[in-house]
Amino acid sequence: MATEAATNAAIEVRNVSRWYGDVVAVNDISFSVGPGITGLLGPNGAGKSTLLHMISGFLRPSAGAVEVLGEPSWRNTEIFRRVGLVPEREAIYPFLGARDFALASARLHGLADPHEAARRAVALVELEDAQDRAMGGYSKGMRQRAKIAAALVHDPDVLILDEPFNGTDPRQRLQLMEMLRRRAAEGRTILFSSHILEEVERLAENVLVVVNGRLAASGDFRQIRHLMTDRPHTFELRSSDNRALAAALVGLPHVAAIEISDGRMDVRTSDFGAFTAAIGRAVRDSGVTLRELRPADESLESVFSYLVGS
Amino acid sequence: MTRTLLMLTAHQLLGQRRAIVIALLALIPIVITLLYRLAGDTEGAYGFTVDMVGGFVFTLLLPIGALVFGTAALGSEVEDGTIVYLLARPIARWRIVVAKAVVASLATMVLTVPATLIMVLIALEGLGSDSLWLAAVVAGIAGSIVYSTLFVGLSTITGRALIIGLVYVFVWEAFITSLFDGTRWISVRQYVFGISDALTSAPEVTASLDGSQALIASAIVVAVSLLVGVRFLKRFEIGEQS
Amino acid sequence: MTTPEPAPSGAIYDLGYQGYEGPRLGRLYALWSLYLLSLRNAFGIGRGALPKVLAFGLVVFAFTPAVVTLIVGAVVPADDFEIFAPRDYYGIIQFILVIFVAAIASDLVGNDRRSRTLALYFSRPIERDDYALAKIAALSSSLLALTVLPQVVMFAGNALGAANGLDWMRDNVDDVPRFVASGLILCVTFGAVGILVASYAERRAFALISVVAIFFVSLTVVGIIISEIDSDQVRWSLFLSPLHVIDGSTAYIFDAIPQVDEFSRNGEPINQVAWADFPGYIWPLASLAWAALASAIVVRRFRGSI
Repeated sequence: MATEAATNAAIEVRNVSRWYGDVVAVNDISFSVGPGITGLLGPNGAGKSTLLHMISGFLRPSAGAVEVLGEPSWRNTEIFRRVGLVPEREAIYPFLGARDFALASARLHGLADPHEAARRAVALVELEDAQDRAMGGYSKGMRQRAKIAAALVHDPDVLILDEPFNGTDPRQRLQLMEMLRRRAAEGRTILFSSHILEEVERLAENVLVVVNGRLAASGDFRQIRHLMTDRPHTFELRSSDNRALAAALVGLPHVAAIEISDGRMDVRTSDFGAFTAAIGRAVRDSGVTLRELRPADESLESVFSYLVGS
Repeated sequence: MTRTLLMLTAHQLLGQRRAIVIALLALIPIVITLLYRLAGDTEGAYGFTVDMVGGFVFTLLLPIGALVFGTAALGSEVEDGTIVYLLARPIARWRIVVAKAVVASLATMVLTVPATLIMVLIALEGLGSDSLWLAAVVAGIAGSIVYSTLFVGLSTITGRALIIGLVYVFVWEAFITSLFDGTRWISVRQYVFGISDALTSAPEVTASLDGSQALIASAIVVAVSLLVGVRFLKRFEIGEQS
Repeated sequence: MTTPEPAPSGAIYDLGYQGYEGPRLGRLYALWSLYLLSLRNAFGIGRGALPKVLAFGLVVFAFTPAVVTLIVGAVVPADDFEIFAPRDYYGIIQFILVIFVAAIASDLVGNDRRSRTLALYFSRPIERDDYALAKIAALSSSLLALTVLPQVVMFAGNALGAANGLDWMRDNVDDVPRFVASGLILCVTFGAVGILVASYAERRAFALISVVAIFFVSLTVVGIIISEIDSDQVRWSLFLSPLHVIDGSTAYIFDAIPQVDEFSRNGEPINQVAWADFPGYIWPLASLAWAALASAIVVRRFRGSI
């Protein structure tokens, strides 16, 4: 079975839906996750946590099948011998220190040398300095790392992290990302969720984009990024003479619309690349001074709404 | 593995203010008994002891202690979200439920039984006890186990186990059972009385179930609570934060 | 909140926010809103199914004696039947009342703390004292549904069931002000004590159990002390037990404190309130003192917290 899992995807999600009463949280999603780092990207409330809970076997899919390491995950506690889970909730045992928390986790896993496992896990998240202080007094970032340490004690093949970077400062985030990359390089499977595009962009090789409970995009991150930038784009410009510049720009083939208001001008183009290549020449030819040029609506939500075609 | 479960739970249950409050409650009978003995009249000492044990320890202290610890053992982990650190481990669910029930029972026992024993010994000092102390201790231990396990099981079914447990103890057991004799079979309080009655010859102790009936009923309640607890914990779902 | 003045030069973007210029309804209105919201919450209105079931389940329990009386009254054509007398009503359902108080008090106080809305309330034009009093008022008035309301139903039902309803009402009309007055005193006392205990518990679960414990432990302990300890001085301990005090208050208002010329210890039940032999008016006063003291402590509590 272990060999079979090694060749197949570690996580297999097939036509999975989950609804709570009338509310559909996850709608007919299929994907598979193999070794490496996969980012589950989506705005808050998109269904990321529901999906991760189903993968971890804590939620029964209303329809479809979830398999982890070749076995159905629902109610299957045995998968946790090879799976580590970092939940989103900040809950911890406030009376334990990070070391004892990891130690308890190691013992619950029935590891042969729990002390060594706990020491190693705490070192992985660089929490040694605070490991004997009660976690009740930890900052958010420290709690987050303590949770990750507890999930790493048994050196799992599959690591599932729900919003792992919440509350971490930039330095800790870099350190955690580095640690995750090293594990991925060893051929392990890592699936993490985030609502922040930049986190996913920096860490994930593969990406799954979830919006409104549906899978909006999946695959190689650069590919998706490219697809995203091919959509109609709006630029915001300020110049010494907006109307003259508008007259020049409207002649370009890929400029779809121009709107002028209060000293600024919004230009919509169908081709991101061609427009950025042509704008320089157009400005120079019209003799106008360009003061500001920036892409508008770069927010994650607008990217998503484009991806789901609404 | 089991030891870790037990330690974690013990830490959660006993490391908080509620344990102190229950311990203080358990001291009340001792204080009253000291007052009683200081007042000097020992004619009704048996009646007094039975009143204290039956009227306070078995009907208030024990169920309240068991409610606090039994519903918190699993319930507070569910409420706080720490339950995921137990469920995301390769541990059979029954181990979790049993460990929680054991610790809740022990916590209830530790905080109620010794105080009760001391109280009985003070109350009957120099009077001969007719094994009242034994009845109080054994029935107290049995009651701790049955009540605590019952409430651990209940807490796997609903997040409002505490209020339902309160209604059970203070409406069903205290009120309905006193009206309808047939309900004595579904009243843990009556089991506790039955067990204590069987262990003492003091005529002040009376019960509506005899000792063996009470023991059998207790065993059934414990077994059913554990089975239900395991079953519901297996089906337990952790969803989005609600 | 200050009104953003559009400056002639500068870079404040108008995002559409506006200062509120209209009339403000003031502190009383805020107090009233919080009171209404708490009252709705008490019965689970605007919340999930379980709070509704629990609250209305307890209400149904509290109505049981009244309903039993009505049914028996309808079946048995006797003129002067009385299964549950109005003066005994609150005593019979006191277990249910205490659990209701515990459940609602822990909800009213605990939910705001747990969801951290307490700080939000206090950053609004609502005074901390108002918050405390609104919670007590909401709990006390929700209790009316379990106390005075079933009495009204029972009274009306009895009048309708009697052979001559008008005669019956003339004979028993005295009961109405009595059960209203004693019911009001009970509601206020229970409400204040319930919120008091709940406001000191860190967790909602612990608030629930603490409220129940305060009422029943004091009832039982004082009961045992009085019946077992051979001293007249122990009668003062009755004032430490709210259920005893309420019992005395209701009995006094119904003019029903029994005459106890002789009482027996050990064995036969005695009416402890009667045995204590305080002047009757002291009981309603003691109830109101409990209510006032508890309210004062609750107000202080919320002045200090968060």
